Amino acid sequence: MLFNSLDFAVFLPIVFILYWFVAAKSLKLQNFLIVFASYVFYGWWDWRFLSLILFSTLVDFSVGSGLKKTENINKRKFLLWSSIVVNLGFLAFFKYYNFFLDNFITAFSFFGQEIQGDSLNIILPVGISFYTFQTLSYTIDVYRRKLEPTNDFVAFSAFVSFFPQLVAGPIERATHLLPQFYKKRNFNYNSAADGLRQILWGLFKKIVIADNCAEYANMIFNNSSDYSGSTLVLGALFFTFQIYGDFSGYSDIAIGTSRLFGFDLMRNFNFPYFSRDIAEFWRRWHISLSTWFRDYLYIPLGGSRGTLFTKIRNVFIIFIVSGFWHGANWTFIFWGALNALYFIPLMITKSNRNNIDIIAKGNYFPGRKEFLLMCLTFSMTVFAWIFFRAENISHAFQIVGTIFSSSLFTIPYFPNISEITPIVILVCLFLIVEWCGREGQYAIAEMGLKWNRVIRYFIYYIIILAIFWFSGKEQQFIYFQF
Amino acid sequence: MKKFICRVFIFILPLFLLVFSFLIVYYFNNLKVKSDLKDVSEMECLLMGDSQIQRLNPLLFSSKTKNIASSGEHFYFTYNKLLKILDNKNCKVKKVVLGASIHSFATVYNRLFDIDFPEGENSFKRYMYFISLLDNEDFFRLNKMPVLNYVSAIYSDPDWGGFFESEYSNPDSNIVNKTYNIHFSREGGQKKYCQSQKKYLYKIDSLCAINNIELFICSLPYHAVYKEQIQECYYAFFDSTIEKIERKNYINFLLEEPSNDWMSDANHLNKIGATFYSKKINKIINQSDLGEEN
Repeated sequence: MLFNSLDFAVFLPIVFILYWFVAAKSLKLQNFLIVFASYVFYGWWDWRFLSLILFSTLVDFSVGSGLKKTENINKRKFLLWSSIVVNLGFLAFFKYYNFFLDNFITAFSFFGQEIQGDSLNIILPVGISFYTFQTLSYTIDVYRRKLEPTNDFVAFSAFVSFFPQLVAGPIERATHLLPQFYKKRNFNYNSAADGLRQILWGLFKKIVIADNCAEYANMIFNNSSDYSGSTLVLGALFFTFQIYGDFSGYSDIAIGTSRLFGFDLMRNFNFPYFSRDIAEFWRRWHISLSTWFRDYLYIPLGGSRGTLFTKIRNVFIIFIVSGFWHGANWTFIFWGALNALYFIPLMITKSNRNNIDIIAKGNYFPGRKEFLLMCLTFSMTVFAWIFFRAENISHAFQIVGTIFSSSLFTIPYFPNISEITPIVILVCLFLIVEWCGREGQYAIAEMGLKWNRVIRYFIYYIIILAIFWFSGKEQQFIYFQF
Repeated sequence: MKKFICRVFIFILPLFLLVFSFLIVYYFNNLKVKSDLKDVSEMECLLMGDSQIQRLNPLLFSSKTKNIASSGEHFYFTYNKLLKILDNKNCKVKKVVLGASIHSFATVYNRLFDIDFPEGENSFKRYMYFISLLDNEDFFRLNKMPVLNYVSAIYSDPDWGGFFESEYSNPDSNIVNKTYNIHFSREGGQKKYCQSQKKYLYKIDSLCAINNIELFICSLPYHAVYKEQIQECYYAFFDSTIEKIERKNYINFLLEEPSNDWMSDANHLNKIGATFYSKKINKIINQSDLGEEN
């Protein structure tokens, strides 16, 4: 089920009413309802893959129970690795089987060996990368004794399958989300109203910004050989706003929906395009994934301790694995490596934690230096997105080659300039709103809270009208494919 | 909780009222379309298709005839119009003259049948009252259409088409070439032929067969300059399409080259030409022994 669908618009109020009016008296019943609703939500796409979620839930619940019962280090390690192997095994099969097979065949043929291997027609289960990492966080944290293993199977199932964040995150830590399923949830007006506001803003980002930018980004990237360097730059810019609107919009809807049910999910985006260096960008972009890799991969590898070589190796590993997590394509690996290259100078000069605070906090405008740094970081990010969006590496290099040619200095070409103008204006307005709201949890979190309700509602109506006005170019959420 | 639900309700009430007002307008316009469809179903003969057929004068036909052809009408819409007309219990329609020619399968009809193009969006506005919104996989999906298009379609008049005559004659080559480009030029990797036209032409044929209606497929003449420019492959596509129609009543004027005095532009007859061909078609459809030689 998509958040921006009529199905979800019917589903959400039904679950909300059942949750607070029918199941409110029993925590167990509320959790059970969440599991049921989550399975319906997921099964709406393809019910057959519910078995994967159920299996993953059973494995990790059993591993958690097993870890509770034993103090034997070898047994504990065995249990941990069995969970890792099962979870990553599913992920590897569904997501990476064909990639590895194709690359093995290519590698062998390079050395003159012809090997046979049939690619499988595998459907990638939606959200597998997200819930796999979420369940792994439970097992690892239980193994590390950071979390008490649960005896409550329903609560654990609800944690694994919690529908607002099941298919595209935020990837929650068991230490943060699981305990919330043990506590009685009381309805909180302010939190629910804030949740609705965040859902509204998320829908705006997805339907108005992302889906409309997607149309032009797709047009330009799919016919990249027909366009000049300047038009390709515009295409990359459209994709930059598409991916941000799409993914952060999804996260906003997920967080807002959770609030309606009394849950607090972790923040996933923190205005990343206003970053002053790439390290800051990565502290603000897909935070739940970056921190997951930091806690469960980077730090166990040694993190920023050790020799310079170790540090650089660790940075490359974390960025390449992060790129590979996005998909079985060399473009994602290259994108990850490129970000590692951006990051390493900051690490060597120990300036990767220079920009921790909010840019131009308390001011309307950034300083000149801050502005230049922000533009530079943004340009580097846009450049990296070309590799992320391209069909394959040669496509990416074809685009980059055209961009860095004399055609960069020509006027961008568009068949219908009158159609594109409103989108460009909207993106500019969107950036202004995001800039003004950058100190909040999301751009309109605090907008007009002290204003007269009529004015505030009027603004919300304008956002709703914009959503309706620009709807109909429905594109699937990009991160569903990951 | 009560406060929350009350406020949400108050907030969404104006939106509901707005949507409700659209539905009311849609409902009443739909009633009007149904009543107009009933009037059309009283006719014995219908002239349907695109703007070529629009030129035929229904008053020159001996039976009770109405021209409901319309400019750039895809057969999908013709099929749906006919379906609604035949839905009437006392439908008296016995004959349908359907315009189909080489240009009917040209690229332009792909655009007219694709909501991603302005032409397709416009088709939706013109024909929304004739099509089923829920069962429409071929043309659009309910959730894939901008809400604005629904609103504008609700307030648009349904396109009934109708007889149209032109006094213009002797079109110059610029006009002819312009029409050719509109019909046959391909934008953004569009397909050369319009396969959906073929599909719905056959569906119209089946619909007529089921309802015992005599279907006459009619190709009116083209301007010589326009005809010359059409690639051979389009002729072949058209011939193979027509060939597969089983109960074939094909009225073919494509081989005729009327004087430029009779043409208003590349593919449309003017008043004089249309009068001549209206009479001729009337005569043909009233003959009992029609054959392929027509």
